[in-house]
Amino acid sequence: MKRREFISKTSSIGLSASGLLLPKLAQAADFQVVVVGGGMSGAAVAKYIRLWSNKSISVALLEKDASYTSNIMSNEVLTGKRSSINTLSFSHANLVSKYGVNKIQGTVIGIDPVNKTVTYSNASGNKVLTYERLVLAPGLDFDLMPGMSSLAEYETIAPHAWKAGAQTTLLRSQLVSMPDYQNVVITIPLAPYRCPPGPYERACVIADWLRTKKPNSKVIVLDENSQIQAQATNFQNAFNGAYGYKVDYRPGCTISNVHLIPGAHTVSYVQAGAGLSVNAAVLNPIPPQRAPRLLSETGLLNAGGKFAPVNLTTYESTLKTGIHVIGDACISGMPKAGHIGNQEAKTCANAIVFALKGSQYAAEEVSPVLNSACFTPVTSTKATWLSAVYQYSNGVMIPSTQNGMTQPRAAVGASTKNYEQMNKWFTTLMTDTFS
Amino acid sequence: MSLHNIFDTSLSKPSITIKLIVCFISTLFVSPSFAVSVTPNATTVVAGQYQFVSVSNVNGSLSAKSSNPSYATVTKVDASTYRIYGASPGTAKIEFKDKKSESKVYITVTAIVTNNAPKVGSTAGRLLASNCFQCHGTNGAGGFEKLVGESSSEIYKDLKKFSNGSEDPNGIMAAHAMGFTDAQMNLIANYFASLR
Repeated sequence: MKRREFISKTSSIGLSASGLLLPKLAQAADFQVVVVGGGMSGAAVAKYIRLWSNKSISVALLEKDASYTSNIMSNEVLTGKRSSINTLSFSHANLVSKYGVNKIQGTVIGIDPVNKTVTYSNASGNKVLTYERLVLAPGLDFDLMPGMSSLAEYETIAPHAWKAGAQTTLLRSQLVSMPDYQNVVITIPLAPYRCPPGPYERACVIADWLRTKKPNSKVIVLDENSQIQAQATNFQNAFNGAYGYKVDYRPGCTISNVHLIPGAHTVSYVQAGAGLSVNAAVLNPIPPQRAPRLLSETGLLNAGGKFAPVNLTTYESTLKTGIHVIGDACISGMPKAGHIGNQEAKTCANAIVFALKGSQYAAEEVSPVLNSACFTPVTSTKATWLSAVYQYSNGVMIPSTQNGMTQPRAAVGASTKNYEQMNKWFTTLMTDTFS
Repeated sequence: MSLHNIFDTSLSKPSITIKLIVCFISTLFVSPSFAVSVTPNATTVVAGQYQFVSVSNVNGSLSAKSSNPSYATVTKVDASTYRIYGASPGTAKIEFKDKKSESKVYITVTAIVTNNAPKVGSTAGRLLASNCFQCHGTNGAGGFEKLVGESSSEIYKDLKKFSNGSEDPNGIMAAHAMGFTDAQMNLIANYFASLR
């Protein structure tokens, strides 16, 4: 009998994996599966566990917000191409009405992996839920930039807008108010970070927008990485003027200090051993990122680690049984991205359905494949795309080497056709995730 | 197909060898009492399935041999019955030989009708196929091209064209298809076909 089946079979009669009799011996869990986080991965895992178990596994979705705001396409709010961040709001209502997911609004404040409970808090107070399996899809926490004193500064002075919402709106208003001849500075943290092409995309669409609005203003990118992290050829061409604008791109810049003065920030950095600095009327620091603190508190991170190690056929934590981690918070070896989080969710959902219901409901996937697509606007009318197929091999997901081709693969230049396809990709992806 | 209906008989008497080749359905009995008889003399078998043939007028012992055992094999059941097994799609001749004569049975083995598509509700290939849902809709219902309702061979054919670069080689579908193995593409195609 495989380990997963053993755990599920013994759990269902009250024995934990360690063989101890749990106090709730004869009592079923409040929900067979509790999902924490209702974003790209959390929404998808809740839907697919219900869909693929023919709605026979009970699922609760614990999410602190009333709805999800999409990061994908949020750069278009910065340029006014999208009129408001509200156009990117996605409700969980279809998960509830079509699939019978139980959405509970609340903030998780504690997890007990041994007793299999989750404690959450909302306006009604604190409550405890018991589960058979827990899936964490909590997204990311952001660190401070050197020289900053409080996370609140991202909300009020120098938004990162790397989790779409109020900060996106603030960054947009700062860009609109910025006078001509003033500069925008974007900083990019060392990988891994959410959405590898994202910062370069942001630099492109802002530079494209400045061309007509503030033609004497520049976009300066300070990249802590030594090279462009995705679609290097496409972005390099864009930065060099292929689409009518230019971007001052500086690689290998380690940020040493951020001095925040609204409208007149200074960023100090070291590049090739030299101490340099640049001024910015609008500063968009994209900070270093990590899994939320709750995960380290629950023992789901290795010492000194930033993200949760998982088994890549099931996304179960390698440190705590019965808890799965998907999306940006886990270590998958693949980029942190919404399309990918959606597929990680499906892999996890299939594994959980197999573990709880057996082979009549799910095939055991010992060698998952994950493919991803990502469309990137580089102007207000043209886009490129990036695609990568990963195959499971000896415990890791590696870029596929099938057909003698290298992965990932990117569009050859930007086009308006790609732009139209981008919109269809986005709509279909969000429907597959939330409906 | 008419060639498979030819009943080919030869006599082993040294002075007379008569071999008749007929272009259309016809049978020539030279000497029924000397020639082993097998019926039916031609048949179609679905791969993975069996058919019986009956033998009579056997002189001495009878041997039975397939011209191509990878397509069809033959096993004796009893003195008057042999069982033909369709191993895989193709054609073969089963040659029955006794002391004085021989008789051939023409076998056509056909592929399983559903082309290995899993039963509706089967989960084989489901997780693999779910990679397509982000662009083609949950269960292939549409976004980009709708995939549900397509036949397995259609989807497989399209994936092959993308993966070998003969269709829109710089497009995103080529980039996707190139990352999959043949077996994975086959599973994906069968899964969408099973949904209709």
